[in-house]
Amino acid sequence: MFERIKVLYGDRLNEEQLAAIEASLDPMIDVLEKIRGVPLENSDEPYSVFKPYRKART
Amino acid sequence: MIYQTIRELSEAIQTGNTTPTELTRISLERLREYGPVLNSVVTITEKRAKKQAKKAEEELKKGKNRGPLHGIPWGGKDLLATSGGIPTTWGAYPLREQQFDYDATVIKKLEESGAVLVAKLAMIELAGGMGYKQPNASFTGPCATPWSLKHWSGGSSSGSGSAVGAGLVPFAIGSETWGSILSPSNNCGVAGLRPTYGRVSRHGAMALSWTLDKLGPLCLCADDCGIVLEAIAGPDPVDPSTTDEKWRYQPVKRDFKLAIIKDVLEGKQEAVVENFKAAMKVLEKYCTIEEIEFPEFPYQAVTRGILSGEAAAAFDDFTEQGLAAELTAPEDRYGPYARSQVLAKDYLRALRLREKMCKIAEDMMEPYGAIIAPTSGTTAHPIDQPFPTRRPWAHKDIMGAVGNAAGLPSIGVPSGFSEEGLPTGIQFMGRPYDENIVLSIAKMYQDRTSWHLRHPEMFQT
Repeated sequence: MFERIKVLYGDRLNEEQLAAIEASLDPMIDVLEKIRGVPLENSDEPYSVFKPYRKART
Repeated sequence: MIYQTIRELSEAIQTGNTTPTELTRISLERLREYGPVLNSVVTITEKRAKKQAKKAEEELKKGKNRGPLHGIPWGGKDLLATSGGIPTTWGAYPLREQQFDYDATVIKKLEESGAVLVAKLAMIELAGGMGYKQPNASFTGPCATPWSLKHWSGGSSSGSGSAVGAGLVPFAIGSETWGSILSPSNNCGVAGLRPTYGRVSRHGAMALSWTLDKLGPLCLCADDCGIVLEAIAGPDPVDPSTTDEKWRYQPVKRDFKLAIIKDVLEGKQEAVVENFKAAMKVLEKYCTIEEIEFPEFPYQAVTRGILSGEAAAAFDDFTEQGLAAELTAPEDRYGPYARSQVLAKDYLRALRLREKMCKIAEDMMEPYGAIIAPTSGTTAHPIDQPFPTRRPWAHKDIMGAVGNAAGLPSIGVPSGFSEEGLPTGIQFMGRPYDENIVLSIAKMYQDRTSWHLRHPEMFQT
């Protein structure tokens, strides 16, 4: 992740900011590990409802 | 007319003891005098306010009364789009001149209710979406609680809480993605209502997280929150997340069964715990309280995952343009880059876990009118110091994580004060669409306590 950030945004960030970003990745990784640690079935869908759009009749 | 509730002000208008223009004049004066002291105001909307107040007064003379908000001044968090050349800054220096050519639905609805917009109120830059770690994270400066200029108002609806607590406006609108209404409610000693997700249209409000953002009122008491919510709630064709049903504020009087999460007081500040226990004693006079235990589940991680993924997308253009470099808090200048690396599959995984979380919450809460907890684990933070590495409200914050990801309504009201004279709060979190229940419980609590009737000395004249 950090290498990707450096490649994408390294030119606009100084050393201090890059170090802070690297440190901030730990809690982010912790979040992702916790999310990935819960087993899910293939049928467990994302909790979002997509409604096809159609203009109301005038 | 200062520190009067909406009901009291409305009655004063109806009985001829005051007028919309008089209330507006007082509010504008106080905003001018105290706004800079607190850093609670971005823009005073004087021209628009005077026009609206005049219209409200003329309508009353003709016998037209739009209801309890007719002629009442209010302030909006500066993420609500306002037309007419009024800036909408989102609290961010690079957007300090941003303007919209339309009004947010909430602004329109309050105008239709006869309320008078007097100010756009300060907020944490981009509603905290960049991961701020200190009160000084707004281009208008760190916002103070009216209870102590050395302490923070809370955020991100900083000015909304501070301005109501200081009696600059009778009510304000804030927004919450995770804690942004309840935190200023706690720190400023006012009532703050986070409605059910979808209860209030967010059209025209800055998006931080499309599936977590809610708009809600901050007022002097729970009863006022009910009045304001009725005016702003309801379906909106331009916000597909809004619920179809209209909502009426109908407080009920009956005994309620409440729940408290096991260990919820663990790690909280002493004054918060003491005042909460005293509040429980008051509640036990008309409620039964049972302890419950939520099953193990990564509640905070799921909510954080959703928020990170959506915030990265919502501010993608802002980030790519390098505008973060101009933000006030140094950590906000690089904050977006880490979360921009959340993978789509991880975001979707968080959304898949969200349904399980919602079902857990519903199973746990079904037998109860509300879950009670301290609104925040601490009193207001010193205004000039960075937050602890782990923010108090994010540490083991099951109430905040579940409440926001499951879209549950919650109201925070004052529960007392610390030795330093800073307010503490108690929150009542209900099942989806149970605003009338949580408002009723909070109102009954306030009918039996007087914490909400105390106001900071400095702002009483």
